[in-house]
Amino acid sequence: MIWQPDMLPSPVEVALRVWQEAAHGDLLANLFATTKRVGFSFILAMLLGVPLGLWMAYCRRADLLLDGIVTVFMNIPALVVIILCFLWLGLNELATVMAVVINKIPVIVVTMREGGKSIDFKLMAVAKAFHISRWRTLVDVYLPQLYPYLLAATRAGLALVWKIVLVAELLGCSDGVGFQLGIYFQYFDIPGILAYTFAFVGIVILLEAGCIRRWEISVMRWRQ
Amino acid sequence: MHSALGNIGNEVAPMMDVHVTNKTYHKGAPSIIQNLDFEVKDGEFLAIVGPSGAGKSTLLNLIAGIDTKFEGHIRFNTLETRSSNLSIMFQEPRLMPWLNLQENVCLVSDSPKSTLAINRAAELLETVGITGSPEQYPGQLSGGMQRRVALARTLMADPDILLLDEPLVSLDQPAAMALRELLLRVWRARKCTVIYVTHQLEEAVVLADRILFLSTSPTSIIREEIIDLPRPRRTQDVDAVKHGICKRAGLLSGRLA
Repeated sequence: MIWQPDMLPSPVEVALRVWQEAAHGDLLANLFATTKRVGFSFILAMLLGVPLGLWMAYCRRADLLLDGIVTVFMNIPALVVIILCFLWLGLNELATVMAVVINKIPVIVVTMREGGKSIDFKLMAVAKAFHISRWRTLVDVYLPQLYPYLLAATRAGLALVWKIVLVAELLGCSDGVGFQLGIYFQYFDIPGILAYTFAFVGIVILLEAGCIRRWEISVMRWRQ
Repeated sequence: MHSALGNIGNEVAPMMDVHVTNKTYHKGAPSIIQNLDFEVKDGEFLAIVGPSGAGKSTLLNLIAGIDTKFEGHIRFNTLETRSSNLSIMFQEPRLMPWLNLQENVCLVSDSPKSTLAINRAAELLETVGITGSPEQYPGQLSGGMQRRVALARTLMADPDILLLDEPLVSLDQPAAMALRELLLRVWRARKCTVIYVTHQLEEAVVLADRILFLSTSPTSIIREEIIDLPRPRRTQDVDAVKHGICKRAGLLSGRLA
């Protein structure tokens, strides 16, 4: 293949394109649509995956029953789940969110199961011996032991979710970053593709620095 | 079955009655504790001595209410005393690594963020000899210092009954002596009842009013000794007292490990 200058536009060209797309195009609307899907799918996956993982950590029967299913779902390609969800539920928001959640839950479950198993019950015994209330046992004794696992699940989860959302949008949505990337792909518009990519990566970095990193500093201060 | 009540005098009513007929870790497993029966007087310093693996910590867990799966009963006889007035210092400090020293001590308080609790925690940390910042985390302290913080946390609960599970184990001699003195000071000042578990006969002789000796497999009381020597004299006479006990009990050494 012979290299052509159009294949890799300069940073300035990409930055200008970002500005043009934001000022005159649908960049902000598409970013909003994708961020909304990412946020909703992520929260739903965490709400379902965290209790399921902890249940498997403490209930041997549940672990034996669900371990195989979780392993199977972890290894089914994301694309297959997305296609099946669109075929079964139609090309709509529900199908997109379900596809992302189904792909994401096994990763959260496995992480949180390990977190649940790592709980030091000698520290829980301290709470019991001193008759510390359930709420304070949860906040001061139990959750701090789970924070490293919750952080890992959040980080890995967010990275996975936005990648899957983009694929789902490419295949079956009429808006969002993934949808727009599909259009630019058809036009071979590399500056457009890079402009959308960097704009979305910017949002992810803001989320990481503004929320996740701050949360990590606040709950893991004792390790520093 | 062994009853200790007759030997400790009748002038003070027993505040606690421990009666464990059988304790196993799971159904069908061999007994860990069998037919263990003793009473504890109000304000008494009772030492329970036995070899490692004798079920001493298990017994304290039963008394503390951490483990409730056993046959028998543990009764608190005085009206004021309930199991909530009971505080335990574990063999390991078991401090929460994510809480600073002040938060660790305040953890056992009903209102840990109140000025009252914070001031009291500071006072207790000073009492146990923690002179550094209460903002430090347990990971920044030595093992001996962590034990002192654990003792401060135990005292924060303002207990009527203090359960101490080998609090001096693995400490160097000066640190162990300092903590021993501190325990005695606290016990005298607060007039609480202490149940002190150890496998070191010397510790028991120096500290306790009465010593119960435990056997293993399963745990039961095999002997009781009243130490009626004044405490100031015990440190210098500890070897003679130990020798006397060992001779009476037919033991070869003061160390029951």
